[in-house]
Amino acid sequence: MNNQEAKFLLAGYRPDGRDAADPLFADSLTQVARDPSLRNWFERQQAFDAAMTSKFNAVQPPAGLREAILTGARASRPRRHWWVNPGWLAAAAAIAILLSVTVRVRYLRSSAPGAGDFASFAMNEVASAHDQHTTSQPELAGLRDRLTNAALPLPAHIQMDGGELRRLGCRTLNFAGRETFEVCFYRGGYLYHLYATAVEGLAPGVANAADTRGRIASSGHFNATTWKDTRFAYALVTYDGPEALRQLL
Amino acid sequence: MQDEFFPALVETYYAALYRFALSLAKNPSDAGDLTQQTFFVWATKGHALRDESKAKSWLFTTLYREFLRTRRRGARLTAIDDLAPGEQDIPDAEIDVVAKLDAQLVLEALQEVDEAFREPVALFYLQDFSYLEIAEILSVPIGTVMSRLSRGKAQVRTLLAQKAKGGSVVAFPRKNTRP
Repeated sequence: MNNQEAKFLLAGYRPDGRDAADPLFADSLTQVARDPSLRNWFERQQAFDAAMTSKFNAVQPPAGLREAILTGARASRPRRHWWVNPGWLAAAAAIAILLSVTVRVRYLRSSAPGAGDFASFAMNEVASAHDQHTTSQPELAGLRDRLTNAALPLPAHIQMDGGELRRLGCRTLNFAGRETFEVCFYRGGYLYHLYATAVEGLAPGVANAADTRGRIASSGHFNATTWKDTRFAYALVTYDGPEALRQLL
Repeated sequence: MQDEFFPALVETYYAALYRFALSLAKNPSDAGDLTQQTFFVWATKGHALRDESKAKSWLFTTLYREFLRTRRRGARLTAIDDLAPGEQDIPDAEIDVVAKLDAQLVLEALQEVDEAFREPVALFYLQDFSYLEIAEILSVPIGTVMSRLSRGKAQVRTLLAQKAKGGSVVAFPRKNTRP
């Protein structure tokens, strides 16, 4: 490792020493200990970073921001504990029984999940666990690049290989007992989350690849569309509005 | 997650989120809006977060996404990925460590850094974030974080040096100053 490479890596070394045990910096720190000129640079860099951190953190939020956040959040959250009212409780119980009977009947007719279930599952996944999504997993760079750079509509141009995705460590989820792969990617400035599960055993109703335009489901801020090819059913989700989805269809 | 958790979450992170928002949005009004919007998203969807220890990362990621969502973004991503070769070799300006910086001046310098570099530099100077967390929040590879940090810091130093010429910045004495 030369000094230039060490400087490159040490740009990410925090000035409070918390990264001292990180193996990524081990060689660079060894080089710092060995080379006086690099050590001089590093000491000045650390002092500069510490001063910057201190000054940056001295910038204060405007008065009242915290109170505005708390008040706004209280107003926007759903009321809680409505169920302690016995009347509501009885009504809820009756509805629950009715729903369970209805669901059971429908289940007996067809227990296979459909397109709506898949879209809902995918949107819920994006909403509830977005801290686990990544567009930077290097093993999936090839597939992600294809998804990012495809000039043609997405549905007709995905070549997924379940075995390969499994081998590369692609994130997998459980959709109605089915192994489901997730790949996140940017295209045209928008962030997309693509889910793929084997098409076999899904209820009829998932659109074919050539028939996806206009079939967009919504949940909160999220939009999704689903389609299938001969092997996989796909759900594509974005937080960036239905137009972002249409650009890929 | 529990309702009681929310005020503590606001108390712990709202100032840091505001600073990050200010570095992105460049004006206090938009920064305040972004910070509020972030907690609004939390109030409506944060309960679904499975791991409370991820709350900090969740909040910063959400703020960053809200920022991207509320402005035109096509040009930005192009700017990140298609930097001219000459731009990729920012001269290493004098690294005179600055002793008596005015906080507002630091912020102004940071806000003038190219956006692609400003995002990781702002997260870095919030200090709670490692290069790994920055990579996750910005959805870029680790090497890209290091590269942008290196170039972003160089830009900050250059900008501060320019501002220092105006008399607002006092430089540290250099270690190896010749007599």
